[in-house]
Amino acid sequence: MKRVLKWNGRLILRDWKTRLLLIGFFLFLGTFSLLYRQQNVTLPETQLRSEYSEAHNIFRLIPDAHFDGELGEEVERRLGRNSTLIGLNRYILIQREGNTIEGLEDVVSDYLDNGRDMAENNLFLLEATDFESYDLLTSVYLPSRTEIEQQLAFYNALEESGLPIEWNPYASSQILQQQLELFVSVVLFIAMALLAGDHFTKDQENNYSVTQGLPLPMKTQWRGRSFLLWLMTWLAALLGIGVSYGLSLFFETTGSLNYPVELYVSQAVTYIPLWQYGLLLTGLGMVVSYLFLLIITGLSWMIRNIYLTLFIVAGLAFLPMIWTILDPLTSWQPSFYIEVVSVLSGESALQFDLPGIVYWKLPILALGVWLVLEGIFHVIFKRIPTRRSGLKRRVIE
Amino acid sequence: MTLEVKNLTVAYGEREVLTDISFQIANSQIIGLVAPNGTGKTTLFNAIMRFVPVKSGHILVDDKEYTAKDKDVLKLHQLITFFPDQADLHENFSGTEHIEMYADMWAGKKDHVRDIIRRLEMDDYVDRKVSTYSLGMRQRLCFAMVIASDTPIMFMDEVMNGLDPENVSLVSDILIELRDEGKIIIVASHLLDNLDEYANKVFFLKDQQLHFVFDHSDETIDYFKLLCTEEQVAYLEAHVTLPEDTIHLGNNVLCIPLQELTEAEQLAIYKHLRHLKDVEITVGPMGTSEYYSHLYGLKIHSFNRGHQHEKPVSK
Repeated sequence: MKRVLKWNGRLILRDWKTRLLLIGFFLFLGTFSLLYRQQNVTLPETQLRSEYSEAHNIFRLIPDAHFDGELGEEVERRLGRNSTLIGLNRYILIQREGNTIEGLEDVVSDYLDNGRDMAENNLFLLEATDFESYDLLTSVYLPSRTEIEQQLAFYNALEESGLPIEWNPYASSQILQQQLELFVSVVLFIAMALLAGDHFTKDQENNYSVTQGLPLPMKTQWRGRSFLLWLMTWLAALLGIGVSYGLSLFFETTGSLNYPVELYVSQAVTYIPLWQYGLLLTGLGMVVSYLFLLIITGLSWMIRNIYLTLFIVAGLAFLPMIWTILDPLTSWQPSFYIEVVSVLSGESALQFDLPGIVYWKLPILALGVWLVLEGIFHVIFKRIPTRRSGLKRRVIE
Repeated sequence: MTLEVKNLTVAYGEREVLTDISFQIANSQIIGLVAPNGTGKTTLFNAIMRFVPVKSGHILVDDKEYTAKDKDVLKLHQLITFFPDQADLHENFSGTEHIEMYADMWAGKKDHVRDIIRRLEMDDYVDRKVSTYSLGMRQRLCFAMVIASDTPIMFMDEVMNGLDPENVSLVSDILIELRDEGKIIIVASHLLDNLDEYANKVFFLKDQQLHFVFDHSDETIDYFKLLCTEEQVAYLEAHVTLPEDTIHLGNNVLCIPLQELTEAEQLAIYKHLRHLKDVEITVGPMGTSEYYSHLYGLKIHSFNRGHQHEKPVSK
């Protein structure tokens, strides 16, 4: 294996296409934080302004008569209180001091307390089914119970970590999260397919007689190539992401790597520090990408057509979409776990209505898929045709 | 070490390319492999290497059979190197890297690489990228790679392609050195006279079979070997009684066995030859080239020096 890595590594890195791809890849990721600053993102304060507006509108939409009676008055009070709390929190965000404003603690209170009050008010409103405009409330104003519970969990996590609410979506830590998610969900697949799509093809088409007789099992070469491409991809990526994070520290507020990020587990959302989320995302991305590279390098040896290889890889990457049309059978279907970000956030569980789609299943499934791939390519490498037309590679007697 | 091929048959679909090939080669032997293009030389190499499926037959090295199973193929590839095609070299690699790669992959050492480079007189270009090489330089590099692998068995397919006479001689010398080290080398080549310089035996493939083995160690008889036109052959036959086993090779070479001729008869033939224009005569045993012409009915259509028809057959 050492010799495979040494010589294949040289071969791959000596190829200008590989070099350019890795450099391009590094430059894109390295400058991501600068590019991201050009994006129009919704500032939290802007979002709260919108919620503030909605809170006002709800009063106009609900007939005054519905606020009569004990329940009506209580609903009105809580809606009014929410409107005030949104305004206070918006003010806190605009001041950019943290969860409180120095000297005004008694006036505007604490961002987290305000948020929790709002969540509790919303939970009360969700229970107020006897309210005459209840349907209007739920369809226009109220978030779902799950969302409210997530908000509460988020405020608690934020409090536990002792961090202020992040007012700046361009903060280094926030960009890092966005970058990691974009990388693991999209960029990684493009990079892998372009890098690996034609390497074995080149061997077969251009260097057949030099490489065919090497005293190395084809599977060792296949594994070695996949590992090398995986290593190069991740080295370029992590280096780029590191540079991007470093650059963003100069231009933006740092944010915090302990900032809570949601993680779907055990049919509920919990919050973990951003650095843990980043490691989890990266680790799972590494596992998925290695399996993809095994498939791509294997296919490139088998079908020797980069376009067809890329097409198949794209098909695999979009495989989970099939389950939006067809009924999925179980949360153990490997294709769900291609979209690592959605699995971690619980979006996949929600989208496919399978609460069992949780991140810890990914390594178990990956092991199974790896064994299956080993079996499949064991057979394929025995039977694939060689460069010379009409010849077949050796078959077992 | 011995390489043995037993009853090897290779077919592409219904079409048999090689049928029931059998031979055994002991160590310290160079075997010439000769046949016209497309008659199975490379297929024979591919089949022994297990690059192509074998319909039937056995490959044995030192009496141990190497089947098409992965383990056997891997072990076989550790024992045999197959001369690479110069077009298949990695253009971005230098010659040294290619040689080192083969040395590392097979021999697991690289200390002999510089010696090989020096021996093949490649110092002045070997560190440049292969993309800058001429055909001859590439061919020498391929040869150096096989030597660097240092396997006990080497298949040299078209090893002399693109080499100038000096390098043909150099490669031939090294082949002899390798043989003296105990290696088994099979050289497929169309430089037939060159094969006679070093090959212990020459295998002729014909009609999908190992048709004839020309063994240089066999006792041989001498011939007058005349390079002449058909008209000149007719003239000679009209004036001299040639032995029955005189061989007409193509339309231009006449091999007259001297074994049964007295000196006076030989002299008589020679005297007649002196009357003919532009006839070349050599004396010696039949070589690979003559056997090739004989076995494959080679006609040297290009034997025309531009004035054969301007003047009569004789001076």
